[in-house]
Amino acid sequence: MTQDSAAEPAGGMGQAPGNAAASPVPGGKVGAVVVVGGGVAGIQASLDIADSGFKVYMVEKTPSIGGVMAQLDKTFPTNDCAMCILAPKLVETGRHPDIEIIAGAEVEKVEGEAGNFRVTVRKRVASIDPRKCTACGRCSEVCPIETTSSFDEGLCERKAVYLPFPQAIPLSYTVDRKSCVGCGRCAAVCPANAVLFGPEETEVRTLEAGSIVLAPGFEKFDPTGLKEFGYGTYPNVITSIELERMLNASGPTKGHVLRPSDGRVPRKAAFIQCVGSRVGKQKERYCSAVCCMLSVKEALIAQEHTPGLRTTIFFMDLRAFGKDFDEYYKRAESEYGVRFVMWRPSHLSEDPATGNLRMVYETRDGKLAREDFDLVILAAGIRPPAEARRLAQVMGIELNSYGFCRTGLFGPTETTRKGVYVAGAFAVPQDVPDSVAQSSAAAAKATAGISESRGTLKVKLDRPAERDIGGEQPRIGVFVCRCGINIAGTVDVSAVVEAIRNEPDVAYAEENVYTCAQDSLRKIQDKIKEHRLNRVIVASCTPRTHAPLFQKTIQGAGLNAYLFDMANLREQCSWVHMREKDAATEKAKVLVRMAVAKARLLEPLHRQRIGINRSALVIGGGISGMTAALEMAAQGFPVTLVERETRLGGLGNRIHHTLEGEDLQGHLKNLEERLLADKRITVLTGAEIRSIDGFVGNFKTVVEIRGAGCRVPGAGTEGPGTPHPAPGTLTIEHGVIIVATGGREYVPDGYLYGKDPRVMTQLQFEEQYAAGTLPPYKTVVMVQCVGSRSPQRTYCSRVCCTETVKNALLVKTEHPDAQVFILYRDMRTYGFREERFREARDLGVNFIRYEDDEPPVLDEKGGKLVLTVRDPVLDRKVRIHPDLVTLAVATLPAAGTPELAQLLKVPLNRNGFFLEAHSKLRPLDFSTEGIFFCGLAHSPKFLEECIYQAQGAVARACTLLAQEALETEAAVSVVDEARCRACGRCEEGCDFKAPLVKVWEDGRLHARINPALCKGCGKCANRCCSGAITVKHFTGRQIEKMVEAALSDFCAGPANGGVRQDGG
Amino acid sequence: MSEKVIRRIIQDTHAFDCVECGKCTSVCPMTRHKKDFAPRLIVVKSMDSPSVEKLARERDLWACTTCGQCASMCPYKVDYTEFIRALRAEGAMLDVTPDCSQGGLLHSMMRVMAKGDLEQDRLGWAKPPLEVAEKGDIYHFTGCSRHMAQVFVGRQGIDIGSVPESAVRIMNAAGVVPAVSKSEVCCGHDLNWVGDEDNFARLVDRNVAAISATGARTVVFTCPEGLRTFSKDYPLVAEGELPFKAVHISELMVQWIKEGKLRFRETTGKVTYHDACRLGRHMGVYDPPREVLKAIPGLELAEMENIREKCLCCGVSGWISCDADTKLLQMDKLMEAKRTGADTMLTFCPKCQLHLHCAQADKVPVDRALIDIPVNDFTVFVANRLEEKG
Repeated sequence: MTQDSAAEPAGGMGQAPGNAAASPVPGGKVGAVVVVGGGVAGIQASLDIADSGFKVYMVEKTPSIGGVMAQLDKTFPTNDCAMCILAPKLVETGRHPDIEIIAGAEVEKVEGEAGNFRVTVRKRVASIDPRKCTACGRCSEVCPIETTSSFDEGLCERKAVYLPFPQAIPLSYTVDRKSCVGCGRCAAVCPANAVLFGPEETEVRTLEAGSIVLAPGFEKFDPTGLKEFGYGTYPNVITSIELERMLNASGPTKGHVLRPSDGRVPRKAAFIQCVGSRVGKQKERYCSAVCCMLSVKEALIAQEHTPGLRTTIFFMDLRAFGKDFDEYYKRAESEYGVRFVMWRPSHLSEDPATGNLRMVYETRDGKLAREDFDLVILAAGIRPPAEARRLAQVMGIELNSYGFCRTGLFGPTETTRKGVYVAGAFAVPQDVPDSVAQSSAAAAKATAGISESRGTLKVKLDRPAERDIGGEQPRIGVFVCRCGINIAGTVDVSAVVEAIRNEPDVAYAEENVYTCAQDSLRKIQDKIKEHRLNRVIVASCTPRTHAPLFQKTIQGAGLNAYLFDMANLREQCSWVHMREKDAATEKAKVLVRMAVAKARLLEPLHRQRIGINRSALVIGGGISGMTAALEMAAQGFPVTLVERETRLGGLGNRIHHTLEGEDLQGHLKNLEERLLADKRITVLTGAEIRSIDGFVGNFKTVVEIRGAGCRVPGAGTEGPGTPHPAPGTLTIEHGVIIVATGGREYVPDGYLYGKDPRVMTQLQFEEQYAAGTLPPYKTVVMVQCVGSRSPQRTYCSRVCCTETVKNALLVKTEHPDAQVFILYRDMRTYGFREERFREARDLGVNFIRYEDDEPPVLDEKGGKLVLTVRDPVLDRKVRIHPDLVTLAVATLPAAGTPELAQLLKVPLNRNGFFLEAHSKLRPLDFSTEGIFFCGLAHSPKFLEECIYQAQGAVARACTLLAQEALETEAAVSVVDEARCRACGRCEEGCDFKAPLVKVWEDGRLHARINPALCKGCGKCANRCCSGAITVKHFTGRQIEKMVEAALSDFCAGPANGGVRQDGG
Repeated sequence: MSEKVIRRIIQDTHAFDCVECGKCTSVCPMTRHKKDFAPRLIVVKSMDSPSVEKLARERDLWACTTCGQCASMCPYKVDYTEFIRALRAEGAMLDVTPDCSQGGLLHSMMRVMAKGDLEQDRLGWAKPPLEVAEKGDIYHFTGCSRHMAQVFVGRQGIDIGSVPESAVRIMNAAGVVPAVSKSEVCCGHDLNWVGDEDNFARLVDRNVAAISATGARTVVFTCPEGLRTFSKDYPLVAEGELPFKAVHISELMVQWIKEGKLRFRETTGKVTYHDACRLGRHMGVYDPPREVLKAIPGLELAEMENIREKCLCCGVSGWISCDADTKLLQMDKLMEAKRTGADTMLTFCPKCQLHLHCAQADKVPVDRALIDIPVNDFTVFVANRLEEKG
């Protein structure tokens, strides 16, 4: 963040442009990565790379990072606020000492090769220097030019000098050069002298980097060209992202859905799917993969925001294929009453008098229907980024036929140039969790090639020695920020300073125009020394963004970081009480007095350093597990792979063809050979996990080896385990765990399965096809959703539609005369797989939709199979006499998953798959630190998705393994063991498995909290019924004193005899 | 100053008589599990270095459950529990506070009742067919069991919420229509035992006024703590002589059974009875509850190993100092009850029930099968076995 760089002249972020290039390691590889793009994919890749010991240059073409996710209101399927989950990542990226954000820049040239790239970047010199800008906003206030806001999709106006969005990183105003008339008013009023007035200049930088990650995101499809929908002509036809901005509380309509034509609240809105996706033989013939769920979510949120609004979604196939997506879709329909109409409207026409839109579409029975809506939302698809072609040229990579980055099935993050990797929507249209997982994978690949240079360019932070304040009376310094006019415009800051100066223990108080400005920070350090302050309070804005900056500042003056506290006079006072200035001033005094009351009781806290065993355990030896083990070894860390079966390969052993026509069995063989040849990898087959103890960095796992088939590499010298005479048990010590236990096929109980040899699952079909043992056939029926999307298993198994299409293509290619019927509910061939779906139709495969409540019926009559199904389109029963029936059965989590979950102490979701820490932004992490997962253990998914998840899990694990020691959180919960009742409620409630109740070495039964796992959230303290748990830095006593300070104006005298809290 | 205070307490409680025989420590239930805890030592310490400040800051002063086992065994009749209570009151004046369970919520409720004018839903249960009156010779002290039931509302198997109505059902069956008052407040037992004498005095005043207004001469208690507090502590605090005497419902029940006013249905099963410390050792009411149980046809009473004066404590008193050691004590109690083979353990004290339930509900250090015996309220149990009026 801007102010951060100001505070840390020694850090890597403040380096002057031009000479920031890392000095290359002589003869070696450069321990730095250039990440192109600052959306959620670029951010995830950068954080993973930087956290595992490499320097990151993040090149973003716009003035702020954040990308499209920053524009979103909520995210499916959890309805989390997008900005609320993204903003912490933005802040983390902005503050990371090893990430340099180069905003407003584009890559011009790439020279060299993997390990030693020279990347030339041209950067527009910002008209407002982000290092000086304090985001006070006066420039924007005086700017006379108004133009439309691109962040708000043109739905409202903004000034030519503007802040991209309130949470922008870097947090700096910027000048829209296209609209600016050069009046210079902004420069005249800027109190920080940050505005550089003059013609736009650019500067060129050359970056040395070992790898490059491309995450330039995507372009939103512009529906202006589609005359039938009248976008751009009819004001009440908008796009999904425009609606997204409207739904957002900070958006142009403050969260209200309003018709652009007249600002009225709509009553009836329609979503039209596949606008700019699945378009015949054009470039946009692929499926954009995200729009179905986006529309479902928007319909649901729009209805929540707008009482009386009814929404209808016009779709072709509702592609709710992700984890928990189908459940979300069903809920929208049943609980929210969102209407789903399976048909694509042909065109819209506007009633000029009302602005309403008449939609024409075909109904089930083949008649034309006309229906009026007062708002229509076009689910505009995902296109390749505008600069894709130029980027491809500069990077020397190939694009695929759709204009996206070309990747391979077995290398989903690899471009055609070595050392250049891709992540996010530039690889394939995909939503946030997939992008995030793939970005972690790109991080793994980008760092594997330069792992020998890990840590070489890491910024080393020096801290002056800490002053011991033991025995000192509190001497509190209070710095009250005017924040330009942000606070001072409402609150009488001088009056606040005067009031607080007289409080007991306040040794010094002053006001600053900007407390976060560089000169103010120096002043804080000076005053600490001058007045021997031992507690510091800054009364300004939110600690979320600014506390770390001030903490670093007081550390620079020898104070412990926890001798600091903030009072939020901006978000919690001036901004919300703009029209009540006197009351706001009084409230500000109370807020600061509360902070002082707490500050008296602040204590220095220290992080503990815990040693880490820098090796990994991978559970599961399928494609995901093998990939993870190999990638982990490529990162230079020893790894043990444990596979329950005697043979490696898992479900992959049964897949003989891929949609892309690549040789999976060959790939498997190659993986296995590399695995067994790698000295850093110990492979234990025919082995099962018996117990897992310990915690992040220090796990101890007991593996039982059943003997036959156990394989350990001959050398094994570098591995964490030594060759072990089987059978027996082996104890492995390791620092992280990657769970890759895979999945299995559901065994159907209908459709004559198991009773008639002509009925088989898709996998059995593949096996028999490959072995040539299929019975002769002329008519094949393929039934979809057998065991999926059912009341027992509510989820979509994601891969089966494509598997079926793949097998149908096999049949049709081999026997063009064979009749193939595919009985489906929605064809969910998302992304580029859509092409093969179209191909199957081209080849004459018959697709018959069936209704959820009318599944096909298979009987046998006189040795003949008879399949009956009602075709809802033709509304008649169809009878087929197949001689082969394949069932697209559900994918289930592997057998033994619940038992393993218990050993790992991690949760499962309602469908029995492992449950991630956060469905959007932490798809590969468990809440329990040090444990990661990937592949089918996560949810059903394709091969390439398993591969990038496995690689991504490695990147996530490497952020831990790259450290010499783990630093615990300092503000953690602690148990007063004498007071503990050992009830176990802390254990039950903790999301991070930090508390443990057992008989400890003191011989007593009580709880203890592992500081390595504790996040300091305080849930345990809240649950503790005996008052034995204290959250450091937020103790009961501190909060009590704050409450007393808050109420002291209202209650005469001290609050004696009031609530007697625990002493913590 | 401090020394003088302690000397007065020592004098008042006859602690001077202590011969350091250690009998108190050997019977103390707390000492069974809490290393270093010894009632004798607290007395000895107070004599050696008489500093309230120092004593009050020691955990031991607050860890004592004041169950009274020590005093019941003491050959010289040192009033050990009063010694502890008095020292706590001095400590409270120095702003020393104990470790309150439930974040001090229950104490806050009591203080709200002492100071505030919040209207309580104290009589929400008193609906027809139950018969109660505004005035009368016999007053029924509702007590706080319904408030407590609200605090622990999520807990399964707790029946203390229906204690007041059960008591009135019993009284009505015996032909008594008790007076009740919505101005009644907490009896003050817990605040008295954590040393908050000021608020205790406020509660005493409120209750005496509320009950006097009904004209009652007899106050009936189900709750052992209320009975003890009204009988032994109110006379010391209230101004003038109390216009009523306190009796326990079990004593009246025995009388009503003898008079043929109370009859019970045939009941099968086996119960065991827990002598709550306030009812037993503090008030000496041991036999009436047992006589009531014997009057229920078909019911079998299986006694535990330690009963009457020796009855094991439920572990916690006054919502303070609930820790892992008290839990071990609760395990002892529950295991003893389970060993009787009874279907349920009955007690009059709502807190004994809550504490033992809590111990069962949480993580336990012993095999669950050894402690899984239901703990139920005596009054509720008996009321449910009244002979139906034909």
